[in-house]
Amino acid sequence: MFSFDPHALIVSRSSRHSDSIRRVPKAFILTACVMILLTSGTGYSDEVSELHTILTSGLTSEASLHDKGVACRRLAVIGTDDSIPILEKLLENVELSHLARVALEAIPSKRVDAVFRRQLESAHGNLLIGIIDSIGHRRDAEAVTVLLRMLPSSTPEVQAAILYALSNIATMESSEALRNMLKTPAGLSTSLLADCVMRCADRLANDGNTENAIAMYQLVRSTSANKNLLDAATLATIRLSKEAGLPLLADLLRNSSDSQFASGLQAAQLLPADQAARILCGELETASADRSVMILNAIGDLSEKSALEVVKKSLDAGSPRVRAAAARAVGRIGDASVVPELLAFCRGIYPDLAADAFKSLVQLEGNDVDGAILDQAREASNDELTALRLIGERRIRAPKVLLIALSSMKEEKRIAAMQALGKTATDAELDPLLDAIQVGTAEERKVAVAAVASVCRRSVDPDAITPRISSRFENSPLELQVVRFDLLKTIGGASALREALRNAGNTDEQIMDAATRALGDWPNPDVADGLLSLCSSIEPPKYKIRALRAYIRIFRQFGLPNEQRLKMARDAFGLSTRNDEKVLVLHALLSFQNRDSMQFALEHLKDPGLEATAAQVAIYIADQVGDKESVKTAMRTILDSGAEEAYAKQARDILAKLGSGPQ
Amino acid sequence: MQSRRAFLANTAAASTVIALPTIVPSSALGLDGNVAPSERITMGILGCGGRGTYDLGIFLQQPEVQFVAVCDVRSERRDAGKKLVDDRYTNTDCTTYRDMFEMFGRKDIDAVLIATGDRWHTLASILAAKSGKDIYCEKPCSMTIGESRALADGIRHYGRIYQAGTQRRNIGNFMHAVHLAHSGRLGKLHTVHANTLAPATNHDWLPGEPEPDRESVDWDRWLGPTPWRPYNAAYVAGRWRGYFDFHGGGILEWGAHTIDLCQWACHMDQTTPVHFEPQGSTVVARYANGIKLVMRDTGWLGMGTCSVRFEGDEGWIETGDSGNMLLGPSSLKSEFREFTDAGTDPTTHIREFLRCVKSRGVPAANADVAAQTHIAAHAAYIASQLGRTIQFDPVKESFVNDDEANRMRSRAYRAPWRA
Repeated sequence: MFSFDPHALIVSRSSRHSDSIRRVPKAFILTACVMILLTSGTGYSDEVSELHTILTSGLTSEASLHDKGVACRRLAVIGTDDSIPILEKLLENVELSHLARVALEAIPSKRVDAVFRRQLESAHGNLLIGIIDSIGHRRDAEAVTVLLRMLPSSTPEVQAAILYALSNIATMESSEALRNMLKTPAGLSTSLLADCVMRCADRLANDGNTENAIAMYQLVRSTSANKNLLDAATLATIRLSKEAGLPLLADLLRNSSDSQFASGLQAAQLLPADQAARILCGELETASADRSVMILNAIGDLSEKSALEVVKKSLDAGSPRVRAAAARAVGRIGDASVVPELLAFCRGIYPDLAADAFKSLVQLEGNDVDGAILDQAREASNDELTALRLIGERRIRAPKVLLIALSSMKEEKRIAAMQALGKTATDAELDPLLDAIQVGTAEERKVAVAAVASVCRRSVDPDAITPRISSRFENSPLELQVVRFDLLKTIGGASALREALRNAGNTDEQIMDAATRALGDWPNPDVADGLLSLCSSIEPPKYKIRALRAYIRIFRQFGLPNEQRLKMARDAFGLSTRNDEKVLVLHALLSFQNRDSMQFALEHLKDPGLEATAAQVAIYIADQVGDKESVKTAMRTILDSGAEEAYAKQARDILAKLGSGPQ
Repeated sequence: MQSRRAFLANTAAASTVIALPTIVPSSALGLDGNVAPSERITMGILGCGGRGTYDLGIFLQQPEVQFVAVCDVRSERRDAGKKLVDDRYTNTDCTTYRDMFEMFGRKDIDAVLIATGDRWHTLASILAAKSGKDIYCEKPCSMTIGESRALADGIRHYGRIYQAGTQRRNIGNFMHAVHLAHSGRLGKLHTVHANTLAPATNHDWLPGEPEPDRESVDWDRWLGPTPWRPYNAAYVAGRWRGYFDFHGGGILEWGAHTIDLCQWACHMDQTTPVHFEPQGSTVVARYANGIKLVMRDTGWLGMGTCSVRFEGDEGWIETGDSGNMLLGPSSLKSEFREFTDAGTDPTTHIREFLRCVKSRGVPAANADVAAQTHIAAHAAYIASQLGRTIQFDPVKESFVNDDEANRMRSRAYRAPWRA
């Protein structure tokens, strides 16, 4: 993608427009480009003059429309008072009015406001609507009188534009006018007026004029505006009223209308949490099951701990849905006192309730919660397994408890302990897990391997645990050798890398296979030099290819400096004996798209079997290269190489966009 | 930037098959009583292109959701969207619309999924809110600073639930990284890094082509509030990215996610940086409290797309779409976590939206949060466009003593559109 530089808009656009719109006299465009290039860096006055010239030339084609549009966008940023009369003329043009507004809206001069006001007298239809919108955007207080005068005789669409403009301007005069109109709409849409009055109220509220804002929202609430607006006005009233809005909140929550009730829930989130929670809790006693669920959800969202005692009552009573909602809420506001009940839910007959209770047990805050859970894990209670799982999920440091559980006669318990150790153990607790890999059941081995891998990822001293792990598998059967190298890869430290590289040259091909697979998926670029070395030394050839592909992955995937990536690409290409790997190298160039990687691709345009890939890659990269001369040269090189027509066409298109032919 | 993955996808001859569940749980239809009608959320989609179709597939898997309408300016996309929905429910009930106002006007629709191109995101969201709909809208959420403000104000004005499609707010590895930053385990935060793309857009026009009939492609509606230009089929087929009028640019593309995470990590959800300095394709910003926000497209540690990095005086964490994470120094490695929901799947984010629609709660990526993220991203892009350092006042949402920058904060809509 070419960079958008507002200082060079005209140059950029005029040199790149398409064939179908290239009907503007080229000499004119070229002159403009040259002049702008010459004047860049010397202020904007010359550029502004050139933009004015473009805008005052005839509109003869789509190309000139495009140029004028680009000029307007630029004038939006650098236009001066001198630009205003030129842009004003364009406001009357159906094709250019919007673009002129793009520029004028942004120019801060008061003269622009006068221009828009003048246009109110003559513009029609969408042009007039656009002008009124611009007046609203600029909050031109001087336009209020004329807008109000126009209102009665305007079309409904223009009336809507006027009303929204008045609400944006939001002066005393316009606000008062809107309020009065809402009281006696006189043929205007009540909802439209209500919306506009609310916009005025929004602005007042933002400015800190809460009292008047509330009065305006209340006015809206008293009308027959559509329900969405009435609900929104009620929400706004409660939000701004704070404590004074609590009775209104209670009314909503008791309303028989579900949508009013929902508004109440939403309003509760806008008030101080303790006060809102008090109202919500008060409604729990009489609410239906459906509403109780929603109230409990809302209390949870408020995270208001003062509601806990009331919510706890819902844990004990009601339908499973209500209890599940209460269980979810106590996860956010509860303490250790709810642990026994939640644990009971976890072993209950309702799966959804059990799942919600477990999530809340994970979520509950406090060391005393950890203590209550540990108590259950220590005892041979019904909740022992759940407690073991929670130790893991809550990351409670309890190695003694877990190691005891690891020696249990029950496989289920051993597995739960292993999973918890996987989440909590340090390097010090590795050995029992390594034992489990060697002696456990198939399921246990799987869990133990995952647990060890997790401990390895968290290890604070990877080089220290590497020999501990590796030595365990020295003489193990093949399936465990695979585990060994997977774990070394997971550790990923210097010592693990040395160990894997050493075994990549092992005389036992199965070990070599496992080691090279691990190296192929190594988690960091430290492996690069070792892989490069293997590319030359390792036998049989299939491992050479594996090492080479792994090496290519490193410079493709990791954020190495571009110079290093390029060198690695050249090394890999040089070591490749098959086109399969050469294609991978060329594709990997897309991970660092610059002039050098484009050049690298170009060097292989004539390599047998690589012509198409090299051309494709070079064309794609060209899109990212800012140096347009290099891109032009590259595209010409592709054309000269006799590339397939599909690529040749793309190269020609790029050259055309850059304002340059094939030569 | 054209990624390698995109390159390979573009050059692959094989057609793309959209994977959708073939088994419809009866609960999704409320047939077994699991989802009571009162709990059902009725939805429509606006913009059924690639991303919209992907999102739609995930929404359709949610048991409480029932899609009843598909709206797109392209007839073939309307038809394809309807087929997806109808196949899911094994009926033909889904209605198609060319005009979004007809869909927004349906009183039986609770919420809409908006997945148009960037140019429509703000305006369509506000119009949907005005019609009383809750909104899940794809990112980037706005085209300018002005639109960002209009979005937040509009959603508050109409009192609707809004979730920006910045799903990483609800994906485990990113949440954990933010949690670490908040917990103090990294020490005092001093620098956060957001993975962005090269911030380029252009003003080119594609060659004009004959405009199709409106039922087939409603070109005027496709353009919406942006300046008129001649029709070209490539735009409506999805090749609108990179054009200034239609696309937020590279900083917005990923920054909508990654700047958002950085803002969150710094507890800056309600404000933005005050200082933006372009350095090549990187923009270095600084918050009022001195924390640096570095928006860059290079130098990442291979954690995948949309990487972020949070650095404090006691440690750092870097993570990305791979779900993997790196931490330093080694004493911090105990904070390493593995997540089953890592990646880019927006399911958890969509679940949060649906929960909030029901509970009327405030989603993580609500309009206020999204507005600040996008204002920060737009300010960075403006600094990049101007090629110089600029100062920003987050309260006034204007640049300090910089007329040029201030004049780039908004763009006039083409009439009759207004936010």
